[in-house]
Amino acid sequence: MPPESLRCKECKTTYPLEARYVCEQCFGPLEVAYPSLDGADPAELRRRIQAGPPSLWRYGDFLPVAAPPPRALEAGLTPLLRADGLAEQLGLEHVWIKNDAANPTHSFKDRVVSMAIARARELGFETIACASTGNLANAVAAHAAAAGLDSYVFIPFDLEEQKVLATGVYGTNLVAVRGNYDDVNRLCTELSADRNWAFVNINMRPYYSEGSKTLAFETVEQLAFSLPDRVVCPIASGSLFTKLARGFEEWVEVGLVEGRLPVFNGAQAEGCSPVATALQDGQDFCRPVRPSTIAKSRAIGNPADGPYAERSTP
Amino acid sequence: MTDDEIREGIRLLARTTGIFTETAGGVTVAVLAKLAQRGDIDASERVVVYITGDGLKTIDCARGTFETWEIDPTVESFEQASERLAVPA
Repeated sequence: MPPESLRCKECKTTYPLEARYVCEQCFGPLEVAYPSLDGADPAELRRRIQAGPPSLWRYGDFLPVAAPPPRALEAGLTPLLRADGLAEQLGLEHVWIKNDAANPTHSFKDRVVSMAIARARELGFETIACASTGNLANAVAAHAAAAGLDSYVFIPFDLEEQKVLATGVYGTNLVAVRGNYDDVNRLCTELSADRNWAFVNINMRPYYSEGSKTLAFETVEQLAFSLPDRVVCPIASGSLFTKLARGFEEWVEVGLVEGRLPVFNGAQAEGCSPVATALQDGQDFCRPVRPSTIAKSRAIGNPADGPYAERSTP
Repeated sequence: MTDDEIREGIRLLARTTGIFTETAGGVTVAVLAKLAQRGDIDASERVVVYITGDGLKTIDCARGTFETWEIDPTVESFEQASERLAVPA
């Protein structure tokens, strides 16, 4: 179902499907809105999925871009593995690992970058950019290289060397910023206002974040179209957490799967836990923090989707 | 989750599943372990754990979590080391 508009998550004002991410009325975040799927035939949707490519593009009916552009580095359809050894150790019976390290650049960021770049190419952008804690840098550099597009990747200067090396190798313009991730992000937000670039996690964010829903779709399909009882996933910006929940909801709404939505447990490091702190204090906003943790990819002190991650937490 | 709990999460996943994850995965497994130990998860629940990145991305975190035997290239040296480390067969 092709999307119909961008829509403010707060005040519901709609906008055309352009490179924009913030509501002009209330400064709320924009997200992709789809026409209602009421009356869709779940059996037909399922048939279309199963006849699709062996990548996240099999879920094109639920994404902002329906099919991969030419020269796409196809991501997704990573293994869902039974973890009996881990389960036994913890006194549990049924634990699966969704191993998203099996993506082309070894993280789930290949999913969101696939969506952002596909939409950026439809909108005619020739340069892709991002602010990153590392995994996103790898993915943007790789997917831009595959597509034959120029890219600029902005990283904090103290990032782990492995992530720096695994980004530079793809031939991107690599910019190390003397500051933390929140500084890098602020700089990129300023740059996005006057460059005609597609910043995947800024002006492409509504499309980008939709890619995370495919983690939920794959989980359901790999569990033979059933729902898990509980999911445990990491939280940094809160985007993965909220979109994973949205993915399960969409498939329940459309009738592709039946049952109760899973309980969600989010994971934040102690040196950087603005979402957990807000939940504990009963607040509906996240107080920004200065990160201090070995989990640098979790080190987002001012999470963009933090309040929404809180609301998704039962 | 503290840095030590994150390292322990990485180790637990690697040793029980053969999957080496980055720090984000360490945080996630540490949360799973804490919930299970607190009894917040029923044993019969179907639980999916999202491992979103590879361990080679943050490989420094594996440092100090294991010991390497350094020996001379002789059988005697190997036997001495294995006696000293007393690893049961």
